[in-house]
Amino acid sequence: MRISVNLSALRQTKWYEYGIRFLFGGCMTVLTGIIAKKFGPALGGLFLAFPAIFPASVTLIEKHEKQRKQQKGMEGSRRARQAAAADAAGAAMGSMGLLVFALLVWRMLPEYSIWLVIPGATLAWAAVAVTVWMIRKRI
Amino acid sequence: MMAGAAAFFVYTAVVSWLLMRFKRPALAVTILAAPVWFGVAFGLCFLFSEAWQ
Repeated sequence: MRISVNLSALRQTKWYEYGIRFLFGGCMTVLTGIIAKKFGPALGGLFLAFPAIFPASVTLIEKHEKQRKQQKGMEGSRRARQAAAADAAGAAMGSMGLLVFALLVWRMLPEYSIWLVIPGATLAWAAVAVTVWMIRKRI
Repeated sequence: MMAGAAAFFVYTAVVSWLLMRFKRPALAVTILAAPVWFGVAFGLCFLFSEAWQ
C-alpha cells in the first residue's frame, strides 16, 4: 500500500467537527501550561501527550464510515468500528514516534539550538512512525 | 512527555483492541479507557521521576 493524501476527505468533515477538535486541543494546551506553571515542566510535559483530540477524531471517523456505508444501503456499524479501531492502531504507531521525539528533545535541547533540535526530532518522529507502520503492514 | 507518549501508546492499543473485541461505540470506549492513560502515565512518572530530572 502506498501512503497518499486524500484531500476529498476534508470535505466530509463539517466546520463544527473541526471546531470540536480545535476546542479540545486548545483547552488541553492551556491546561498543560497551567499544570506546568503550578507543578513544574515535567508534569506539564506529561499532559502534552494526553489524548485530548483522539476521542473526538476516532468518534468522527466512526460516524463518517457509518454514514458512507448507510448511503450504500448497508448498516455499517461493524465497518465503522473497524475503521475506528484502525485509526486507534495508527495513533499507537504515531505514539512510538512521539516517544522518540520526546527522548531526542530531552537529551539534545540542553546542548544544541532549539532550531536544530525541534525539526530534527520532528523528522525522527516521522521516520519512526512510518517505519513502524511499514513493519506492521508486513507482519 | 515520554511517559505521556508511552501511556498514549498503551491507551490507543487498548482502545483499538476493545473496539474490535466488543460491539461498543467509539466514544464510550475512548472515555472508558481513559484511566489506562492516567495509570500508565503517572505510574511511569512515579517510577522514573528521579532518572528523568
